[in-house]
Amino acid sequence: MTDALEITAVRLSPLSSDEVTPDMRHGEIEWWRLEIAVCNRSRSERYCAISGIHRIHYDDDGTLAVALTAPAGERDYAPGYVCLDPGAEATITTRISSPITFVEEPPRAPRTARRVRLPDDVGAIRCVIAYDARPPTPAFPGRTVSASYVLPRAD
Amino acid sequence: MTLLIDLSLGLGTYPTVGDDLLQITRCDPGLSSFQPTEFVLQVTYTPKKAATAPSNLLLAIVDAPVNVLVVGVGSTYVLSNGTAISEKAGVIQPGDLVNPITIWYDITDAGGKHWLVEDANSQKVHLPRAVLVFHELAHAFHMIQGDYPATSPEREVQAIRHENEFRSVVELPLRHSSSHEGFTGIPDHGGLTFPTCTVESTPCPTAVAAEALGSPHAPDLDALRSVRRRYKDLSAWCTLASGPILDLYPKFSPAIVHDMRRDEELRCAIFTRVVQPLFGLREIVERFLDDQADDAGVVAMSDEVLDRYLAALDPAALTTLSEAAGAAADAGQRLASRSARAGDGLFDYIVDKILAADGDATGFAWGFAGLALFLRRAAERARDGGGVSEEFLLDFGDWLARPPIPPGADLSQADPRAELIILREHVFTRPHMRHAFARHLLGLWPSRAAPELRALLSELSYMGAGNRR
Repeated sequence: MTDALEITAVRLSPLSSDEVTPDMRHGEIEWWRLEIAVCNRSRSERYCAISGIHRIHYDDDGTLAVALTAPAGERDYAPGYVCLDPGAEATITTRISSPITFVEEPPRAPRTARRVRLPDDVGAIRCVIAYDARPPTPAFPGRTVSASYVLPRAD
Repeated sequence: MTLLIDLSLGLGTYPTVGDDLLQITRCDPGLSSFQPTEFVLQVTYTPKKAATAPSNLLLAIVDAPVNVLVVGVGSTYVLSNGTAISEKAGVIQPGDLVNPITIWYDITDAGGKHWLVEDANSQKVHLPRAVLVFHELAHAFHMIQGDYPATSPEREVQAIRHENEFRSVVELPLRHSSSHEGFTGIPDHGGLTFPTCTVESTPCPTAVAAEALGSPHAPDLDALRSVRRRYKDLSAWCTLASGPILDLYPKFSPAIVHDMRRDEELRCAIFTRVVQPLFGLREIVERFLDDQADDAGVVAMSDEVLDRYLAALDPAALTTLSEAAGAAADAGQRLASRSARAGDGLFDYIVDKILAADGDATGFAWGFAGLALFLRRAAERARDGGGVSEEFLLDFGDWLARPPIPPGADLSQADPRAELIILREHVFTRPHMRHAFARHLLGLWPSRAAPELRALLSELSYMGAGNRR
C-alpha cells in the first residue's frame, strides 16, 4: 500500500549570514536548513504531519536519522504540525545546528559528547515523519513515511 | 561542591552561560569564576548587591554540597535517549555517582525562532535565555533541597513559581503558573528584548569574573587556552616542560582566587600587573614564533600590544611599572631558588602562594621572567615613548629559548633528533633562538653524551655561524 503522505524531496543547505541572528552566534556553532517537501497523495483525506524534530540518531555508516514523530509516552505536549488538504504540498523546514552533539552516558562513567559535523561527517539524511488524519496529540503514533537524502560530495 | 560551567561538552558557549548567570544576579560584581580544571569553570559568589529571590537561589546552589553543571548548547543537541533538545529548550538530568546534576539549555533561542511560553492569560510571551536557565536552576535547587516533586507537572509548578520571581525582578510578563507548554514564534506581547544589566564600570574591572564570564576578555582566555593546547603536546620535551606547570597551577590558584573575591585591591593589582601583561605576552609570543613574521612586523605588533596595555592603566599604575617589572624579575628568581623571603608586595604574595603549594615551580619562575620583560618594556615605553627595539627581540628570544625543563628530567628518553626537528619547525624558528636553546640544552645534558648532542645540534642548525650573541 502506498503512503498517503509522500516525502518528495529532502534538501540541506547552510543558512545565510543574515539569517543567523546574534542569539544564534555562539562558539563553534554553524547553522543549516533541513527542508522536507511532503505531498498528500490522497484524493479525499486531509492529513496532518508532525513538523518538529523529536529524535536524532547517527548510524555507524554515517547516516543521520531524523525522526519527526511522537511515540507514546515520550512527549508531554502535542508537537507542532502542518496539515495538508488532498493533493496539497508543503515544505517542513527545520534548523539544524552543527556540530550535532550526541551525549553518551556509559555505565558508571562520566558523560561524554560525540560530535557530528555537517556535512563532513554525514553521508545521508534519513527522515521519518509521523502523520494521521487528525492533528497530533502528545502520543501520536499515526503512520510514518520516510525518505533518504544523500549529501552531495565534491569530487 | 558548587556551580560549574562546562568547557568541554559544549561548543565554546561558556561566555554566554556566564553572562546569563550574571543577569540572574543583576550584574552583581560579587559573581566570579575560576578554572580548576580544563573541563569546567567554577562559579563563586559573594553578594555585593542587595539580595533578591533569584540571586539567593543562585547563591544557595553555589554554596550547595553537590555539583551542578550548566552546559549551554545549540538547538541540535541530542540526549543519550536520542531526544533532541530542539523541542525542549532546557533539560535537567539528576546527578549520580559519576555525574553532577546537569542542566542543558538552548542558548540559541530555538535557532533564532524564539522560545515562547504562556502567560497567566494563556497569551504567548518570550522565554529569554537567562530566564530559561534560571528555570532549570530552580529544578536543581529543589533536587538539592530534597523536595523535588515526584511528578513532572508538580515539578514545573514549583519551578515556574521561582521563574516568576525572576520575571518580576526584571519586569517581564509572568508565566502561567501551571502551563509548561513551549512554542516557538513571535510573542503576543512583551516583546523579545531582555532587560540586560551591565557590569558597573570601575577603575579596575572584576578581573577573573570579567575574563571568564563573557566580557571582552573571554577571547583572550580562549587564546591562552589555545596556546596551551597547541604547545603542551607538541613534542615529548614540551610535555615534560609543561607538566609541572599544569600540575602546580590548580594547587595554588584557588587560594589566590579566594583572596581576590574578598579583596578588590588585590583583584585589581593582579589584573593590571599579571593578567593583562600575560595576555599581551601571549600575543607577542605567537607573533614572534610565526616563521612568516619578520622583525619589523613583530616590532610593530609589539608596540601596539604595549600601547593597548598602557592605555588601560590609570595614571598611578603607570608610575609604578618599573617597580613592578623589578618585582616580577625578583619573583622569578625567588621561585627558581625556592627562596621564601618575607615581603608584602603583590609578587611576594603570589610567590608565597606558589611555594606553599609545594611543587616544581621552575615553569612559573620562567613565566615571571617573561612577565618582567613585558613590564620593563612597558615602563620604558610609558617613560620615553620608545618602541620595541632589536635588543628587546633578542632578550625575548633568549627568554623563549630557555623553557623550563624540570630539574632531573631525563631528556634523552625521547629521540633528540625528532624533538629538535619539531622544535625547529614550530618554536625555534629564528637562528639566535636555536643558538640560545642549544646552550640551554647542553647545560642540562649528561656530560658524557654532550659531544654527540653537539654534533646533532650543529647538523640541525642549532649551532654554527650566525650566533648573534
